[in-house]
Amino acid sequence: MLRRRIQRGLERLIIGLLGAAAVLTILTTLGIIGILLEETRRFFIMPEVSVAEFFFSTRWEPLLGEEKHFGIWPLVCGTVLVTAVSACLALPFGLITAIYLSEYAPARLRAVLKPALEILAGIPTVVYGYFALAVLTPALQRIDGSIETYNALSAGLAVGIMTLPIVTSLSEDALRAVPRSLREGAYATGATKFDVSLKVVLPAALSGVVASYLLAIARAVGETMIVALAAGGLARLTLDPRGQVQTMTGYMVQIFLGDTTSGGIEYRSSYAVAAALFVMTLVLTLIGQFVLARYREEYE
Amino acid sequence: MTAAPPTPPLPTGRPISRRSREVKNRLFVTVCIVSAALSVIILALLLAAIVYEGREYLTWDFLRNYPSRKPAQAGFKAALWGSIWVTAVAGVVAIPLGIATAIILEEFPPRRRIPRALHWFIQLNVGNLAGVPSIVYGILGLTVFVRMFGLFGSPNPAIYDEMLRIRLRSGEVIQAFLVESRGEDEQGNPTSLIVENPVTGLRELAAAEIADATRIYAKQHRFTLSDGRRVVGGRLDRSDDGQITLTTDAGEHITFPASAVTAYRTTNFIQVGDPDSFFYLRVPFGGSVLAGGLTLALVILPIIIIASREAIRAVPDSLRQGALALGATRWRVVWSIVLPASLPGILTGSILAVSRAIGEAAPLLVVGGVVLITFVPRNLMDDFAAMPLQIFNWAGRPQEEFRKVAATGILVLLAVLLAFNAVAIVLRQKFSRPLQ
Amino acid sequence: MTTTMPPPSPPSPSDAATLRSAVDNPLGAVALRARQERSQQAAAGEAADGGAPRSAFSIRGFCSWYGAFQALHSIDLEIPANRVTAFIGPSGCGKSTLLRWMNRMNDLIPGARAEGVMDLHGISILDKRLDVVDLRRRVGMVFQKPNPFPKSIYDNIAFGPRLHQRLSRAALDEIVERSLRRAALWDEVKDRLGKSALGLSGGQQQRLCIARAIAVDPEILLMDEPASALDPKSTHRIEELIGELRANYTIVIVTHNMQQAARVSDQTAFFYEGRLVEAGPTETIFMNPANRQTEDYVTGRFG
Repeated sequence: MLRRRIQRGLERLIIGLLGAAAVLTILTTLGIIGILLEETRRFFIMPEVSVAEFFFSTRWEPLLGEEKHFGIWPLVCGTVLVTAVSACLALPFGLITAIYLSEYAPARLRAVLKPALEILAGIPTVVYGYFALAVLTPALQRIDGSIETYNALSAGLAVGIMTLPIVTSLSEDALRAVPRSLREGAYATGATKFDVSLKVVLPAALSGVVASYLLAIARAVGETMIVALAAGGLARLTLDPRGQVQTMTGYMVQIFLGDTTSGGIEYRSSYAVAAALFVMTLVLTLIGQFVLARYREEYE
Repeated sequence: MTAAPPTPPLPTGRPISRRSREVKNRLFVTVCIVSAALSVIILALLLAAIVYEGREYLTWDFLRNYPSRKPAQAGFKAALWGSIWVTAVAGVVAIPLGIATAIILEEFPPRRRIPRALHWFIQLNVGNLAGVPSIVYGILGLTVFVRMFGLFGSPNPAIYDEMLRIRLRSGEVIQAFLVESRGEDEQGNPTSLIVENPVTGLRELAAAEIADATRIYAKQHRFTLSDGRRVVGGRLDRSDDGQITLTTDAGEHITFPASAVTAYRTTNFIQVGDPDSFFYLRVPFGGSVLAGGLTLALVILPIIIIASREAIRAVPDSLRQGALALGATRWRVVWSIVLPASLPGILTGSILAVSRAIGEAAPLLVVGGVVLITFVPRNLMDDFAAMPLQIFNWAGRPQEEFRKVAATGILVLLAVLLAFNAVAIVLRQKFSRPLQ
Repeated sequence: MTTTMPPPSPPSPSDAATLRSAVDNPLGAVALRARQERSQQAAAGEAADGGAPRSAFSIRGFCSWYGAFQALHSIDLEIPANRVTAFIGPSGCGKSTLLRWMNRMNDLIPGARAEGVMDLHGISILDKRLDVVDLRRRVGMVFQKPNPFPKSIYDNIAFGPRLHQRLSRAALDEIVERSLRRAALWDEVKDRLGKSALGLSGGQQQRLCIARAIAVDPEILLMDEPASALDPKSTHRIEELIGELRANYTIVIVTHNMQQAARVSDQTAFFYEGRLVEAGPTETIFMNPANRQTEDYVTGRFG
């Protein structure tokens, strides 16, 4: 009797501990939000900074000269430019590869493609950064001489290569989740494989594909090492991918690597940038998650 | 039975010919193959470029040497061991926490309203955490682990004195400020260091004498003077004429001659054990192995949770119900049925998460900074280098030769990752779905 | 019983189109012939019923395998045109396999292969050169579980016609309406054609699938246990519909439900362990079977 009660108490304790572990994930989120809010607040109460300038000025010049400017748009622009280049590579090619893997590829090709994609997905981003800097940029410069040593194009392409396996594997999951009965129904009306893949399976898996896109874009926005190595360090408001840009993450690396004192204004500004980055990725992942949940409901 | 009257034929349009269908199909397949081949080609190109660039410096010495200013002598030892330490900490912390969270989420769905809302929120939150950029985790780690919210002092390092703790081959330990490094040997490292201790003064140490050196941050300096006074202060300035000025936390300046000092001690943090012992701990953690490892643990925690949840979900319900029907409690079912059945999946997911931690650079960059380190960590409080950070440092240098060294580093990093993934693949194949 | 005279049918544009495509497509020519014969038959009315039924499918010595497993052993069977033929038999007896060969749906299953003769109007279905797409357009299929596409009701019906022809909006509208009318679904959905087909009830979804199948104007409808996932009321509705469709289509229905076979079919084939045990007019099979196994099965002694 007593033993049983001890045992039951012990089990309660274990379950409580497990629950505590789960609560830790919430504490992590709260920690991130709290720290970013507090440090951003401290940044904005500094006399040199104004909220209006942060959101509406188009100059980001925190380190140079007497007069410092903290308008976030050049950094956002750099991030968007690199992300856009990566999306141009990862989204179409990732989806087509996913369709091929899910609908067309013979088993033998799958056996080569899947591991290749898994390896690509497992390669650390710093390696892609090296690849962009040491391989892609020289190659691109040979095609177009106006491309600078640090440029948004090769950084974006490397980010695209990095996010391609994300798009492929999540989209393929979504395509495979489409029930076979739908494919059969389409074939039975005389559809070709092309019709079935593009007109039935793809629309049916659309929410999963969209989710994969959103998550891949979120990864691209938050990618750090590639842009730190290959994109350059000049915050500019430009849409020309041949020149150097600075992304939000790139700026953060510059600050955390540098000799700026931790109480200084440049240092604090990196927290405000981090907060903006966090909000951007959070919105993308949140929408992605909701879309994903919807498509899971559809077929499970 | 009356047959319905036959209806007139359905309207028709211009038929789409078999040939146009087939052309479209074939075109699409070609696009598909090109697209799929692209990833294989990129992978091949990437590996080929790295092998080509990195082969020159790939020697055993590369694994035995510490970083150097000369590419030919540059080595990966500190980075390799630093990565092993940091990743081990991350894995040891994150894997149990991740599995625990996955178990709670999958096996103990609450029935009451408020816990259910919490449960839902945790699920959503885990998905969001997986999408948070890793550099943001670095900021979290910097505040929470490195500085501990400044609870043990201001987060402003300006009030800390950065000193070196130097262990000599003779066994003597010196705590002193670095004044300058002199000379340069063939590896590009200094041949001697000039250091200054507030009490004992300047001293030149030959590189050959030094076993290793670690940064320490002195928060408080305590002096006992010859007149029996005890002076406690935050910041230390030593003027050329031998006067010591202490600035206390309250902003008070106390000046006294160095010659009056009879005893000198620095305390920086709350600490346990001696900095040389393997169990040395202090708070805050500073840019140490422990801080780096915990930060990486947070980065990979959502990955482990998601993988473990999927593994647990794959365990058929019939197994659980069978055990429950025998009168087992929910926890017994989890411990003796669900966990063993899902272990291969959990392990595979954990290994993949840990290999992600090995390659993660951004959070470590924020937590520890890129520091040139010439020793292997001895305890959790030592500074560390890490493979991806070292590669980042090399790749970012302007000299062509260091690019090659970076490629060599990448080869080692990829080899380590390959070994990890091979274990995961073997595990997956060995236990592949024994339940289905 | 009344005989209605159909309006004299001038050569429709589709016939001309079929003629054009018949050059590289033997089935096209067959289809043209079948279409003409169909209208002749309709003109003849009762007379067609009285005479010996013409075969749509001729199956002789037909064997099929899934990998090493032989699913069908030397089947000989004639499927009469413009009749309802039911395949009955216990699970795993091969009846669905045979059905799925009739429009080559088994092509989708890796390792499935077949030998022997299966002709549709004299053209070999197993011929490697056969245009499977065209075959499936002419031999439609309805599945066990309703499988509407996650699109609007309209797009579900229009899916097939759009694949095969470039149609004007008006023509497409007409096809959609008439297909839905034939499937006895029009009145229920005419006000929500733009809504998702997934919002329909199970029975409505299955009728939608039938409408989708007939929208491409097939001659033959294969039905693989079309009512097994439905409630009795919807089942009854589907059976009624089959009765209405038999005037225009050759229907082959696989069913587990012997009452259903008895109610809807003209001819019945009984399969057991991959072999055709007995085939003949439904009445004979149910009332006076020649084979003992058939009798045991239809009287419910095993199965």
